[in-house]
Amino acid sequence: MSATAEERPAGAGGLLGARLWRSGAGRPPLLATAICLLMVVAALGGGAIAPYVPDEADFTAILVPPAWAEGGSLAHLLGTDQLGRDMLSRLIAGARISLLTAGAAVLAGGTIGVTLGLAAGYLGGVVEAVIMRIVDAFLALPFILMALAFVAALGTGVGNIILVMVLTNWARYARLVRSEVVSIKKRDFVLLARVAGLRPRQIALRHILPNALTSILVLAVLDVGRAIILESSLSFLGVGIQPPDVSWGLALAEGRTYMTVAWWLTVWPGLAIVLAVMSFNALGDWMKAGFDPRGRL
Amino acid sequence: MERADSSGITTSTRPDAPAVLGRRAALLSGAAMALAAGAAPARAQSKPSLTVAVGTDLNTQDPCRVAGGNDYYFFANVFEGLYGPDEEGKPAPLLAESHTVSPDGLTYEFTLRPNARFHNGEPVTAEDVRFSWQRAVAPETRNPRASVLVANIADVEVLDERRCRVRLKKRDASFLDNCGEYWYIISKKHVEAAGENPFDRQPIGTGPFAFVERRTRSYIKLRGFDQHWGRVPAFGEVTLKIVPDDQSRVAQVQTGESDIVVNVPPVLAAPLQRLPNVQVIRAPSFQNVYIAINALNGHPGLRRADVRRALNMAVDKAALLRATMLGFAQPLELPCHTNIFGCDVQVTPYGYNPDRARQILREAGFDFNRPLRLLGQGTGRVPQARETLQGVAAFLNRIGVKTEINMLDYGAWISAYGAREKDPSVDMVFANFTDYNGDPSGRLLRQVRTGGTYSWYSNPEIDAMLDRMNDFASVEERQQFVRGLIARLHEEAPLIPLWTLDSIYGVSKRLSWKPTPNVSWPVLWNVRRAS
Amino acid sequence: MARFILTRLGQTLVTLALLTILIFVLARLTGDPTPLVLPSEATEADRAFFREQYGLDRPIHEQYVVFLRNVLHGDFGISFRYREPAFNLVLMAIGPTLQLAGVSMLVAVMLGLPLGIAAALRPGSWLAAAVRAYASFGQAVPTFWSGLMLIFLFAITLPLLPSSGYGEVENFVLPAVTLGFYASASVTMLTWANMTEALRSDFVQMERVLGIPRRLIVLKHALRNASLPIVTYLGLQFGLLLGGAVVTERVFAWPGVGQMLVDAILNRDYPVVQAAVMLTAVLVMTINLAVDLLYAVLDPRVSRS
Repeated sequence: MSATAEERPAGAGGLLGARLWRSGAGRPPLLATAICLLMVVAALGGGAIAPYVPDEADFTAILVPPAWAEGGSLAHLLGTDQLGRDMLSRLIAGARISLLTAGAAVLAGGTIGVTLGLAAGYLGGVVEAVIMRIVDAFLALPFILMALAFVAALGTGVGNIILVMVLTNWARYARLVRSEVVSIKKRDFVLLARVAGLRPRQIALRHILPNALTSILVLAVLDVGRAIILESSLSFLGVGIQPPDVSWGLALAEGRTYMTVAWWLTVWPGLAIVLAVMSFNALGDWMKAGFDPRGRL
Repeated sequence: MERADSSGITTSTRPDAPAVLGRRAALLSGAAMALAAGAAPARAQSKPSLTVAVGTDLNTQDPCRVAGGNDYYFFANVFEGLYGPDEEGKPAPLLAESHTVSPDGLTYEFTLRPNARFHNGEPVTAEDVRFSWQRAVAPETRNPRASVLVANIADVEVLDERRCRVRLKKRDASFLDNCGEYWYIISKKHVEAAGENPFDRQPIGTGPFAFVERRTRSYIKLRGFDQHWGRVPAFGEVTLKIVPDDQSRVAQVQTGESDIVVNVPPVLAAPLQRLPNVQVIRAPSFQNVYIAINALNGHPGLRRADVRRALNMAVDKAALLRATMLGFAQPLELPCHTNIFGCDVQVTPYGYNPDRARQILREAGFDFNRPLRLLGQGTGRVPQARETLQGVAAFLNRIGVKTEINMLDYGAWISAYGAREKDPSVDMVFANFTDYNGDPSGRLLRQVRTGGTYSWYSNPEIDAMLDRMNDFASVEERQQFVRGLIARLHEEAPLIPLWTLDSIYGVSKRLSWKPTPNVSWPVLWNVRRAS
Repeated sequence: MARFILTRLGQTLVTLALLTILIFVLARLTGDPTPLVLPSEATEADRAFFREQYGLDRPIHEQYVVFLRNVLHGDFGISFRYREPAFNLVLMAIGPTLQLAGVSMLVAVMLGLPLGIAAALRPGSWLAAAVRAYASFGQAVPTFWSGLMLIFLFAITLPLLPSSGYGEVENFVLPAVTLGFYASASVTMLTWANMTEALRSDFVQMERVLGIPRRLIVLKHALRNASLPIVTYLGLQFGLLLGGAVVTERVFAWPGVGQMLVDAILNRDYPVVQAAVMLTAVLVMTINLAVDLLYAVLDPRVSRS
């Protein structure tokens, strides 16, 4: 889905200038922003703010329920898992890896995709044909194949998981940006710029990109949620993040077996995933409305 | 209440049916049932059906091409050897009713049962036995496990219709034990008539169940073989449903869609037990779980036997077993289970003593700065594989040994574990292996001999003992020898034995069943309706 | 118009060619199949024979040429694991996946369309907020969790439906609802967006002014205008469902192509991996091509761009 930005030259307002923003957007969704911020803080803080080492097993405290439930204790607020590891700490550590993976995938994938899409859209001709055919090929490949192939070939480090998610992601940005660029290219102000003698790179970066940026940003923010789900699916299949690293997806997948005896193993990471995705989506919707309230929601 | 009408088809009339229904209705319903029975043999129709949920699909239907333990849930029920496991898991005469063996252990004579039949009704003859051997070793068949048993057979001589003489190339004390799973008897007539890939469409064996049909990745249908020589099942139609996901599979018995569920994860066993309509049945298997130690080219400290013993001391195996397996396993002190031949030797246990372990490591000059790299199995063939390795790492961490874990999926794991050149960047490997029946000359010791596929250890003294192990004529002498070997291995500690898994089954309370012990697959002929 | 069709076809063919290289490389990246196909008791001669039989001992470019040549004849080789033609195996598996994707799509549309329309007709109301929450939630829950929840509720606690398996009509319900719920989120939002846009168009405003009853406007015009992007999106989504239903197929023991692909990759079964990906990709590209062509026919502006 593409949100078309209104055509306007990016002049004194700069890339994200105030003039691109519509006043009708209203204030940002408070709850969503708060949750996002909280998660980012957790991700950045990581080990420093977690009460326990997330990976440390304690066989005397296995499957302890959360503090308020029967059998729980204040020592472990959210309970412990099957190896006695503190759930709260795992949640915080998981925030780091889940958001890092998703964020890096979106950023890196987005950058590559945007660059290639820009090149394809603006330069046209052979360049466009070649790039778009590669894009189509990547889009036709199921992400699971790429994920498993790379994991099998390179191992399951966090870096490799990010690489996999970048590879499965960049093509969507390329396709989106290219179609945006193609339509913007024809607008008058671009023709004017060319007539005025500006070089292609200047035109692309200073004039075309800002107008396409709205769609890119919206896609990126929505993508974070998708990436988190993707990572948890990989963990479910056993080929995602591996111990001693922990991500929400891994915690959810591992805890699934214990669902009937220890609900807290799945509910906390599940809740974290759902809240994260919903918050990022809400932010994305708000941004969409902010950039272009007329066209969509 | 059953009665046969004139066409020989049995129908059942309910004794409490109102008389108003009358004979006509009864006859009509009988006729309807007869129509519905179709081509299936009439007697099987009156037996109830059984549904079993399994976790993996078959790789092959050809008994000469079985490559792994996963397929035995099919083969153990459809095919048989001359000898095989009885209800106690001990070798017993199956297709053969008796045998004699020469004093030098090289020649066996088998007498076949008179009433042994193939599923197509043909009797089992000595010709079939000879043919089974020929096909199993023929190069075109490419039997991947020929080396276990059939490759060691020099010749099978047909003495008469029901007697044959088998001559071995080398003495093999585990011969009878392995007959049951590594030398299935097949029908010469069927194979010769069926042309290429004879077992793809109709795998004909002699087992208590006959093949009916199969839908790849969905189900396999079998039927009870009423003409079996001794193990006639209580069920007519048997459906083996393939449900890969553990929880979905267990749900099958909770909802009643399946009567038996195989490979219940330990975590799900307790809640299953609390249900009114389900019972959890466990049986010991010979599937062992342990950590192999790289004594060849990994961390230098691991080359010393006292260090390896100390590592054993550092892990609280009982606590780990309780925590990860929830008690559904038998602890292992020796490299094999005590029921295995020669593994009943008394040794001084390593014991759990972390302080002493740390002391020993220090005295041995163990380099604590270099972390131990552990290789794990990430995708689930073994229950709790990931948790087990993480638990072991946790115990090692407690005595100051740093660890790094690398979890691989099964394919990558087995490539690394079985690599010809062992990777020096791997210090310990999580491993699981099933012993062949009751004999240690099977896979376990393949894991400690120099150059063995899964061996990360080398010791010429042990090698010499291993090579001699099968070369005995007297059982007592052999037992003494093997006991000594196992005791020596306990001293050398090339691995950290953890436990032997239990097979956990979820079974409907309407059934009664005692699963065959010491195998890791369901043997179904003795499933009965609970009275 | 004809030129457009030809160009698109040409592009698709080039993409397919690229795809064969990608698939070939990715399949071999997964690792060595030998230890998975042959047990430890196999002899060195067995292993050598296996490699030779499947041409795995030849140089990589030679293997690719052989692969490409066979693919052009529709031959994807013999599965290492099942020893049957890979193409047949995949063909058998595509049926269930297609069926599931189709029914899930139906569920997604049945849920998403009315919700999206309702929200568009009452912007800013509690209904719109609820719909937004629903869509957000639908995309946030991983299918392996929602699938399990559904099994728990409707197969175990209330024994209404089978918990897994394939074969009867009842078997479709839970997996289709799981997948459909996930897909309905985006259908809802898309319908909502396009419906809003259509309602704001001048033509519709005029009809309002003229006093034509609202329901008529909605049904006749807005819906028709909104349907085009939705159809495009459905085409895209179908492709995603086809390739991405892996998790759902595993949870519900659905013998589809997604599950087959995962197994084949974990077993390093190159022929099946290659066949499954090729066929799925061809299917997806055909659907996209059809949608593009439909779009071009219905909206002549597109074909000229």
